[in-house]
Amino acid sequence: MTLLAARGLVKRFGSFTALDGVDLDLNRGERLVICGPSGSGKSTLIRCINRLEEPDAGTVVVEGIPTTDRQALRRKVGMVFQQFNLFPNLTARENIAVAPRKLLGLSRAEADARAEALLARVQLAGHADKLPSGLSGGQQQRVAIARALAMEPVLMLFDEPTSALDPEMIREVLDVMVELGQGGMSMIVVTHEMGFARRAADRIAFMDQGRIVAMAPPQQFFDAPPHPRLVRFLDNILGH
Amino acid sequence: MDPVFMGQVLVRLLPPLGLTMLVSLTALAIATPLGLALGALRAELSDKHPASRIIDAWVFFVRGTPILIQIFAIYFLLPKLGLQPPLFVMGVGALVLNSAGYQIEIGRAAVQSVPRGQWEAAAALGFDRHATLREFILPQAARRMVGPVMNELSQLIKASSVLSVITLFELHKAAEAISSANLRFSEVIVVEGFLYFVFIFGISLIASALERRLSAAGALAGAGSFAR
Repeated sequence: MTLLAARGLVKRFGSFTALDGVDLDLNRGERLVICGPSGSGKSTLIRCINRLEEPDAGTVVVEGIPTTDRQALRRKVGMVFQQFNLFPNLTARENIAVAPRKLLGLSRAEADARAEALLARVQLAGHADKLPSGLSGGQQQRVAIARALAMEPVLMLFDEPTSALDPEMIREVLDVMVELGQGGMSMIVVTHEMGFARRAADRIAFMDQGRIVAMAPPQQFFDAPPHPRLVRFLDNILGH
Repeated sequence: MDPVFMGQVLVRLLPPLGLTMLVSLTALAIATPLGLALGALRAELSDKHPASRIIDAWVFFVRGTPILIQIFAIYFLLPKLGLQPPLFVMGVGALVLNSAGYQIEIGRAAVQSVPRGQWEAAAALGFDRHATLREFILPQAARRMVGPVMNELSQLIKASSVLSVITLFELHKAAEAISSANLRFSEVIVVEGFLYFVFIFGISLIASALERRLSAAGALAGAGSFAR
């Protein structure tokens, strides 16, 4: 069942064309990984899905949400950023509870309970009262995942969630994401973590110069790459 | 230096010091919220917005002219417009005109210094721009404003001495009167300087205590707005 349908997305920044007519479908519960060289439009694509970028042309429909209401769309589509972007003046608990309280009308007790439960789910029970500055990068990113989940999204977007992390912290974040996917969450993940893609993705999309040039399930993607540009890309990132 | 005379000067300068405090603190109470709010607004508006142009012109004028000219401008131009407010009001008005001009820049810079990722994180959760500004950006910006605003406050108190040119009988005007009446300048200037110093030093102690509280209790500062 289709959850997301993007058609003909075009996005230009000045004379640079970041997205050059992208179509994308995602089924409910599906986990899609997007990879590709830098500047290929991966981040722009998922930022157009929750309208952090306004596409110059094309449409994005997330099932059941009127596309005209940006705020309603964003409440149902969670996003995790490369730089975490936690609110530095709020504790981990407050970071997670603030949106459900202010936007969904939960009481303080309800929102706090939701936050505590989510912290436990991302293996951070006991860290609720810490400020982001008191948490490691991996911990901050897991709080950021919990913050997005607190709105009970139907779709989660991850924009290079481990690119800003020290190597030994990548694993703890990816584990949370794998578990999330196994729990049935629909996800689109922009990442260079090919191990994660192989382990957790249903399909992998490869972007180059603003287009999706290849899309395949992991096994075919890695073992029989369906595009010459992809062969070179995989060679570069896996071949050493 | 005659300590007995200096003691007499000190006592006679206390009421004018009171006026200096009153005029400075009144001006502060108006200029700070006004300037910071306009600065935050300016950060949100495009350069071409009519309100932006007015705010920019204000800042441009205040930065580009001496405060002496600004005070005279109010003193001589307001009556030409048919307005003749009391001296105290003109004095406060001149200080507000000047100080708010600088505080607009403080407010604007503080809001713009909050990283774009903060806006995006709130937007991605579903907050609109207005709620994002109120819930997340302003509480963070406020803490960045404290230091510069305190700096501006001591500038404002010192600038109030220039109000003597429109015969407002504040600390400097009173000191001038005493020294010319007695033809003794050095004692008076020492006492006057001492009183300004004590006032500004006292204010700066309060300021640093406030700044420490805001930065040490980072969570509390945020929770303040969060609790609303």
